Amino acid sequence: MKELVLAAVVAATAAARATGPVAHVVLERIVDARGNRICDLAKAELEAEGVRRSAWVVRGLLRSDLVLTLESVGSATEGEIGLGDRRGLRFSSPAPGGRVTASSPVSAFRYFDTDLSRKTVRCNLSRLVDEADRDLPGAVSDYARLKQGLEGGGSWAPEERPVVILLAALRPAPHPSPPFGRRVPMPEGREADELVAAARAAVSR
Amino acid sequence: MKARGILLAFWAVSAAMRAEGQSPDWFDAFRDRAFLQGDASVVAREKGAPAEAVPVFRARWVVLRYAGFAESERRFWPYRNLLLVTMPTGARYVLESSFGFADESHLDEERPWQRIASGRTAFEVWTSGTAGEAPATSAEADPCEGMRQRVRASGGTVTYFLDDLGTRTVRTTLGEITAATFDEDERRELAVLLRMSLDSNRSLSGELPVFHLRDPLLAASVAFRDQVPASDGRTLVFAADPAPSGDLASWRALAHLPLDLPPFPALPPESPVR
Repeated sequence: MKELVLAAVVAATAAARATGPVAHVVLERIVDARGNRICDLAKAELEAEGVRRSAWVVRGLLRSDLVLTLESVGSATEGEIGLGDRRGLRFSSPAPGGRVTASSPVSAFRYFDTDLSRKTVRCNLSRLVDEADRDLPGAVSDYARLKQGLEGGGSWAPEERPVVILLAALRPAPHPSPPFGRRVPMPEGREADELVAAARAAVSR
Repeated sequence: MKARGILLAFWAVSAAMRAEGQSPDWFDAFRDRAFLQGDASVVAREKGAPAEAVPVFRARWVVLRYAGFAESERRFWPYRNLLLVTMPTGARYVLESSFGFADESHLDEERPWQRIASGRTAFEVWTSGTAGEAPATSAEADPCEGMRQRVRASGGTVTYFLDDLGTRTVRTTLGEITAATFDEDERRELAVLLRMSLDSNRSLSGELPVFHLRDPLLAASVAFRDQVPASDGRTLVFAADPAPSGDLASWRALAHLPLDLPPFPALPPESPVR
């Protein structure tokens, strides 16, 4: 009997979620000069009741998905960078130029953006990275290299802000000749469906 | 040799405790036999105030040395440069500028540096690393390399580099930690110490290491970073206290003073540089 009730509750919750707003997802494939796949990217976006949520899932660049999420309420933002399902590093800011709270699953550090280049901020952020996920520095470095060689790579999107912060804190050496990459449409199929599902899950987390 | 072995074992245990996330104990670095190198009583007065004016506060300036190394290296023994402050309200504070035993093969371990203690709480500044390591601008250099400080207090902790003490990030965080560590009365009384004139700085001897009367006040300048006045606002000076110094026993608990404090034997003259 207990199992029946539990199953009903789970089904009701799932139904409620299914009837909620569905995230809009854009898929991209990034290929090298010969057309070989470097990675796939899904950008999901959801807006409801004044809260805008977005999630970028980069698949194939690293062993795990690189997941960048952003939640905006008015001028306040909360961005997160993580690998796969693991809890990563979170950056909360009440407003542009305001005091940023960076938090790992273990501890937090608060700083002002204007001090990002100072050793105090860089050292404390590197400690948080260590606490959160020791694979993050490599992921940030690889993503920056991808961006560096990407045709029309251009400016950084708000979702990529955690990458920009960690680049400033960890200062990985820039790649002297980053591999060329360009965006192409991602073909439909099972891989695309799975990536859409991953992006929708990330934006609803 | 045996003593060195015991010291190394002590440091290994201490490092293991830190690895497990426990806060180090300030006084672990000062456990050897202690000696009294300096002891003077002073009063703080407004510049130009008559000698009979009521002091802004009274202080006992005490320098302790701990037999951390061989007798032949007595000059470099660990020290505690203490200012034992009594306010007109009767409230007591211990400010210190200290250097504990440092194992040269573990310079990245935190070492005691500056401390403020009241009757109910403490604000400690620890230091680690060495100066003159990789430049901060180089790519891929460990951002935590170099000499850095760590505040440990009941109101919070923060790691910072001295060069960044004036940044908004460090000042704001220190302000929050201090506000959460000391109560309103303590903050008001300790802020008075910031008004000590830079000119008022006696030293214990002309030979290294030189201990200055003002050194322990640095802890207050860290804790109350945002309240440090400009030099023309530092209107308090120290003068010799005509009142008898009395026994140090009443400070033993608050300042963690050893029971027995024989005088520190005079140092042999420094050999001239050739």
